[in-house]
Amino acid sequence: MSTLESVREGYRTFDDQRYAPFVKGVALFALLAALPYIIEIDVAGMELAATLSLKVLILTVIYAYTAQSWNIMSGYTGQFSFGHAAFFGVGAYATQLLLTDVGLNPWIGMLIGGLLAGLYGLVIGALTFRFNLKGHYFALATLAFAELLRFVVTNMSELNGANGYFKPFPRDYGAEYGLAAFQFQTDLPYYYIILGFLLVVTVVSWAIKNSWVGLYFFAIREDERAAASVGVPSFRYKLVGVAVSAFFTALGGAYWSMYFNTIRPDTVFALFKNVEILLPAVVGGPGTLIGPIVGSFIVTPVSEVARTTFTDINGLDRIIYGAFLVAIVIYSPRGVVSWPSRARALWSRLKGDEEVSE
Amino acid sequence: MPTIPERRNRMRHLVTSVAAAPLQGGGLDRFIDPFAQFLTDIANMEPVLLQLLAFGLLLGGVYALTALGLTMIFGVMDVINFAHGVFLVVGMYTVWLVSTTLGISPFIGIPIAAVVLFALGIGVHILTVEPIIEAPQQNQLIATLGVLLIIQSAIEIIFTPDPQQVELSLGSVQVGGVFIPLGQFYALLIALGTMLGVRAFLNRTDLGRKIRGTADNRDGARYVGINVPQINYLTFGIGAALAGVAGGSIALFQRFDPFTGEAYLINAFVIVILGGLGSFPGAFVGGLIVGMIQVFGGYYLPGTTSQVLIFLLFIGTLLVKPEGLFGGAEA
Amino acid sequence: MGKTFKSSTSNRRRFLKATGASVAALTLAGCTSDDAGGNGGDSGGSGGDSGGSGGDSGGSQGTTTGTPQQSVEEIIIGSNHPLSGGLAATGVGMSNAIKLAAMRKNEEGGIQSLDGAEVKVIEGDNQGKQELGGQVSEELLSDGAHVLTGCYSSPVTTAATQVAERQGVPFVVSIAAADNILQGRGFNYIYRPQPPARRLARDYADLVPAVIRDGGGTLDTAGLFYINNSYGQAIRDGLREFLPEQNVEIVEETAIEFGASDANTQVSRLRSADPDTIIATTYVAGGVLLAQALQDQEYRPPHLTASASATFTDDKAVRDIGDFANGVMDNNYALNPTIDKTAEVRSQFLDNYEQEFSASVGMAYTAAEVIIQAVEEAGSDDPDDINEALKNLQYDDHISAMGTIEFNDEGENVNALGPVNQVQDLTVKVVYPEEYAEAPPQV
Repeated sequence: MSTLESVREGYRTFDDQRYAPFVKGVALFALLAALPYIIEIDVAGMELAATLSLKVLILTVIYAYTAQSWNIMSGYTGQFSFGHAAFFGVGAYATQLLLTDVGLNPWIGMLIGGLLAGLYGLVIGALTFRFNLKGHYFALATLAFAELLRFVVTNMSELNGANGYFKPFPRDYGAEYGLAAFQFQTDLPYYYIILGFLLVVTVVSWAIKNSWVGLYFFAIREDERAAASVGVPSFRYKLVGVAVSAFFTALGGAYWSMYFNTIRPDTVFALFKNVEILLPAVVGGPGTLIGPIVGSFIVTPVSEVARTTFTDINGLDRIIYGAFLVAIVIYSPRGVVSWPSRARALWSRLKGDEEVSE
Repeated sequence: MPTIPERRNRMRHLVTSVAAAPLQGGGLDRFIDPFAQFLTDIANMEPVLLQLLAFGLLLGGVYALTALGLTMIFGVMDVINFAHGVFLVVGMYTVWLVSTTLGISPFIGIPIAAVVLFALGIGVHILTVEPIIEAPQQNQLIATLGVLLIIQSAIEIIFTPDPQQVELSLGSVQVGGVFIPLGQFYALLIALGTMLGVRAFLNRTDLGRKIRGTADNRDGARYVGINVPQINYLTFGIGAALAGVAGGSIALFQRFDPFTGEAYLINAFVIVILGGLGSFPGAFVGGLIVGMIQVFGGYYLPGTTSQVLIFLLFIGTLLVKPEGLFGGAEA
Repeated sequence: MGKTFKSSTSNRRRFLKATGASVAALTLAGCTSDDAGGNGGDSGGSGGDSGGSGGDSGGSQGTTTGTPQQSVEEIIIGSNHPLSGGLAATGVGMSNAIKLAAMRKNEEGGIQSLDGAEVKVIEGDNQGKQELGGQVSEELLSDGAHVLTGCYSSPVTTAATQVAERQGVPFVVSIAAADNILQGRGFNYIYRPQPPARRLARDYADLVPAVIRDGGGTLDTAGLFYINNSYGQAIRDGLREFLPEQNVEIVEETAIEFGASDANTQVSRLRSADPDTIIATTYVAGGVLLAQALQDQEYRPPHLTASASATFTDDKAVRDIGDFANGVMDNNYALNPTIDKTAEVRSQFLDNYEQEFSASVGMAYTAAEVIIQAVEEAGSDDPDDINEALKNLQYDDHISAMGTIEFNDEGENVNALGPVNQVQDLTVKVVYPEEYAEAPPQV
């Protein structure tokens, strides 16, 4: 008991230090960076790689990244977006269009895509915030803006219609496989790139959270009218939230288009893309820094494990996964990240009872 | 490898062509020409217009029917029910199952579907929605999404993913040169009947008035002694039953598989917002608007550009009159 | 490095199966050396690394070693198809067809050049999701597949073939219509027996107008009715390109959305254009809606045709539509009715799986036969040997209505063909070209 106490005490002291978040972040990302190797480690004939391959890891980090981007807008400012596929798709399309038609390096195309998505986000935000849409109405409006793009692109032959784009080879834009071309012949570099993306968006997210911007964001989320009454320019700051969130989401779309080789309106603007983007954040804990990452490392592997385990009956894995989603939102409505504090509360309650009984 | 000036040229070309696309050539003409054609047809009193009007009415009726249950749950409980589409599918399979195995007429299968869905809806409500009715909307969204996955996959496992169809060829009748496909015509009648029936229930019965009261003001309802949780599960049950009626009616004229509901779901959301939350006449008018745009848009515009118009209208309505055309009016 | 990763993973999984019963300490020791062996032999999933695995587990794994000298007991085909989700109705049938091809080969005594090695099919469910295409390919490979096939959906196939190419394992596309899956990709391990979208559209233009004109019909104008997704638009673009060459003018184009509830408007539009033919390009559901709307509006153009439509090559859909479907011509890949084997395979399929042996299912069956034939000719389970055999393959004994299957540098079948089918007496019959026709076309 006493060792446990002292460890906990030690942790608390550490937690109070100013450098604590930094150390935790470094530890987390070091762990993520080591993951491709960790899953290969064999323990008593069992290894994680049997269910958790590098491809699944990449997918997990992609969704952690897009959820983190979504979180900047929806988690922090409380403006629940159900249409982030719009930004995702704009990023993917801009990158591939500029790459195919102009031969523009995907890194630059990606940034242009991010800016375009940010612009689209500003348009959406300006309209919806100006007209003061809230709750379900806001969510459905963002969904409509995403669906709108899907149908526009499908019917525009200038953008190859429903056929979309096929990623060109590096030689087509005067490059060779490698970082500069954003193309690799193996998966591992792709993993570290998306991990780098995740690091960047997490740092940005952290910076926002710990600045006056974050303070304004949270004030808007908790009570917009009160925030406005003390002088928070809520309209402008909500726009900032949308634009930043859209920008980063678009980079995720750009990455997706490079990694998965081909894009179509019905893949990158898909109705369910909207859900996939926000799901990890909601499961992990919206509005928290770590929630989207934790959420994605729960949602994606669970889906994968279900898929690779229940193979005898096609479709059974989706039932399991559906039940899992229902259970998780019912039992932890504020996300998985609330578990430690809930456990602590439970623990102290138990301990309290103990003391009484003594 | 393209040289720099070449690249710049291509870029310039790209920018001008993409930017100009909406303005010239394939761009605005895409909308102006069809519209001009539309006006010419009106001026000439083309008989096809009457035919399109009939199709729009029929399609709108089907869409309205699919939106009734959603608008009820949305309006009363303020829950976005993502599982609504798959509720429709359960209705389709119920009608198909009773008509193929028991040899009962599909028309009698429709009320059976309503009963089945009512029970299923209450079950779903108690297990998934009730515990988080006060939670943030994203939790409800994900819970109903989970329900969607569960039911959809269960249907897929039990009945295989192969498409099914009710053995019924209703054909069409011709009235004054206008063809009326009977399957959709019956669906329209069922939509009207259901709408009037539920409306009467909401307006005339004590229970119905309680539901409306809860829709207007949940907290107020609690104060005047309405058992809100009970109203909730009744509402969810009735909403699901309406989906059963809608799905059963669609099965009269359309082949279906476990995934058919998805296409109807988004339309139903659009209709519910257009018409106004919880408003049955609104759902009807919303359904007609969407149906008409799809029919006339499909006739005059290339590809499926009409869907673009629908979402533009949807966004416009949300911005200007988010309470919908019939918002604020009685349910 | 990623290649090393994957191959060592696959070793380990096979290794696990082999040593499942051994003592924990031994297993741990074994794994350390396995790691080294796997990482050392960076040879892309074939010879070297699996040799390492075999050594660790006491040489008990004949099936995974790449050396042809050792006896090969089974050849594993990995089938990567949508077995659940919206595409499963067809995907399950395709995967079953692959299993049937293996079963028939085993009944004949297995792969002769490998002393009767059995053909085994392992299945993976990609759910029709692009994100899972590559993942499922990797799983199948790590479960020991020597050669892969799939995936029906083109984006999924793109992801799946990428993995096969990287790991140097042959992949024979069962069905995937998009042209750019292979063309311009410079792939070395990917093959497609099926005619892709543009080829199908070209075959329509080459064949159908000729059949109609030979039969005394007129075909100057056409109205297109297509599903507004990539497959529909790809065929549409092909028809736009090739029909004018045959003096057929497209006078109307109308699209239907996936999951639409009727085709009334589209038919009104086609009706007012009144072309000599309507050319439908849809999935099963779209064609059924078209037929229904045409009947409801009491309209039928002089020639009702289709290009690469799933509806009018599917016996069940045709029965569902009823008499109205009679006479519809559709050019699509098809089974060759003039040989006995086709009927035999068809009835075996119906007996085993209670599903329609549709054109898509038949195409998957042919893909599996191509794989089996290549293995037979390679006389080896080494992916590179099989790949070499595929490159040089000239396969006649298949049941698809097309000539000798042989692949060009891009991996496309040079003799791929979408012949003309016609619905006669509510069954789908090949009617043109004559060498595959079971009945003359009725115009």
